[in-house]
Amino acid sequence: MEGSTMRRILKSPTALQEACLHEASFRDPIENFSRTCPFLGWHTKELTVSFSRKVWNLRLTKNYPIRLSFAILLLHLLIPSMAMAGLGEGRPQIMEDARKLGLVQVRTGSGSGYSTVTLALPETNRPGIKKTLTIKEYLDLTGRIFAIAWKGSVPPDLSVILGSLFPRLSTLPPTQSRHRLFYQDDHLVLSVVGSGRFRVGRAWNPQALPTGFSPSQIRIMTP
Amino acid sequence: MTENILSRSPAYYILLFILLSGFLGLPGCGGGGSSSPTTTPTCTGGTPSNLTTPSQTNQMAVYQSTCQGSVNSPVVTLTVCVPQTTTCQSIPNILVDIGSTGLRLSHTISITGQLPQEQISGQNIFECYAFVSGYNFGPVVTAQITLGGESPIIVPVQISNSSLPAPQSCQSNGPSSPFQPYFNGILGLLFPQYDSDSGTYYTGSNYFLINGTGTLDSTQLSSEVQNPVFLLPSVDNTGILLSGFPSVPPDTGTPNVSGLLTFGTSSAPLIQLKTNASATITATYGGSSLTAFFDTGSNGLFIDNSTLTSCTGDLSGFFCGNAPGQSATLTGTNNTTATFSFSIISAQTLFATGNNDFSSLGGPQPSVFDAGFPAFLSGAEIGVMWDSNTNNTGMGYFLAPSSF
Repeated sequence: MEGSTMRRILKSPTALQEACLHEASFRDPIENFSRTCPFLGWHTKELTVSFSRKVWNLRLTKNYPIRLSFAILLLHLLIPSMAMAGLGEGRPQIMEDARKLGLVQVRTGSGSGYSTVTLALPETNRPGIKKTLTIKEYLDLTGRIFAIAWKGSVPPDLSVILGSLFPRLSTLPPTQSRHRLFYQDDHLVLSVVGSGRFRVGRAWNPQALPTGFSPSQIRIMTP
Repeated sequence: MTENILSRSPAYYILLFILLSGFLGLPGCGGGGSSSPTTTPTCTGGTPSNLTTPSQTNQMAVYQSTCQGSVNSPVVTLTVCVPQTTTCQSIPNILVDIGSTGLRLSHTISITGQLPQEQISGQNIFECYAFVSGYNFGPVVTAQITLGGESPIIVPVQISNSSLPAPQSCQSNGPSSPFQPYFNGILGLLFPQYDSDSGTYYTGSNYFLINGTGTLDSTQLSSEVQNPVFLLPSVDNTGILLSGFPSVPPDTGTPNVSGLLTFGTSSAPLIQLKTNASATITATYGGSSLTAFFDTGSNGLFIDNSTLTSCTGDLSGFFCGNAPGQSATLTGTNNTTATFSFSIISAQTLFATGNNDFSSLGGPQPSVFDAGFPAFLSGAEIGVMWDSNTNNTGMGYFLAPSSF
């Protein structure tokens, strides 16, 4: 489904549902509809989903929660492999990550045995508030993401940037350090530091580092 | 070729029903939400007896947490009451945190079950707040609290209830990060919230995102989990100071510390390091320019130093090498500077002392200079200040001596 456009065509009765569906359709309709709007199945309306000429159509109609499940199930059947993006995935997933996180590509780079793609949140015009997020993804020569560094006032959605490795975090015990997240196993090292308005983090797969690459190279400097 | 999947023949639904029977966990038809009963240990420590005595009504004592296993954790004891009643509870071990905003209490504290929930349009309000360590989800309630000798104030409080299943949009922030057994609550004293930027708000039992985005609008801001100090009467609502902590020996640490939290900053003889909207300043350290901030909620100095040895095993994430005689220059966006002198001592060495407060505990983190609680154990008075007049709370100041 690379490059497909998603369009919302619906007239729902409330602004909440409207916004929810908008967010779901703006993102990946399967992965994110259920995540963004889990309550809709219980609540009021039926979701109709169709796919035509690379356009998703999402429509709410009448009361019948179970049909929502049918629709989601059908989507799963019709599009068998919507790959999880994030760490461990390949180059094509980078723009998918960017779209999910609302980022744009700002630069590329390379080093010995790897290349980088840097994504950033576009400037917003909200008065008095500057939201920032920069994500740097490190790819090996086969195009696989082996490390990610990020920094900014907006925390990235960890479930996106860690992809299939994200559920590992649920095994973390409670921590006394509220402004620090540290996780380590054979396939994921994650370290984040920050405050309520800023965070800087990095994650990598220690099994997948290119020869000669040190984790200390995973960094985003002050712009 | 538009394919309307819901106008299929009955055979489709029969097929789907068979398939669906294996999909009981599917969002939208899964239910019950039966969270597994947990037997998480809770903090049993109380308020210590020999605390620094406040000399002013706008002060209260801060002490090293008495929860088991806490190091470098400055906490206070707060009296929390059900509004308009005499039902009150004194709650010890509430983290003094200048790295987050708002008062949050663990649902394991008994009085939290009696605090009235905030509502919008007759619907209960819930909040998801993402600390770096993970998310806290639970109801927004109101409580009457007393900060030191100040008059009681009624403030919105988030109850962190890890036994409630959080909405998916909350869970994407990372793991659930309950306060227990390390804290009974968190008193977040970073700048006032300015547009509910940090928290995501929900209404109703199905957790609808408020206003579709989870952000309160201007008519709903009284329900926001606000910095309680910002809600004090003028002039004590302009910021906070932390003072009176001892200068802790870097090589050994000390068993416990006590100091003072002061509300209001008007008399501070300190340097004003202006921050940007992300509440950060700049540190020059080891030849690099780093994003920097003070944070009492960080138990170490988490800094960019790739030459120091890192710990492995249980102490992973801390430094296990020694680096005495370090110095960093902190610079505000207003170009004022302060020089911070410190040492890093191996976490293995420090923890082996059995002490709880260390001025030299640190850990590696590229690109950043997190001046955590060890920076407050250098004998210096350090504070946070914001603009209380115009609600222009997008930025503020860190306050520190010019050299410490």
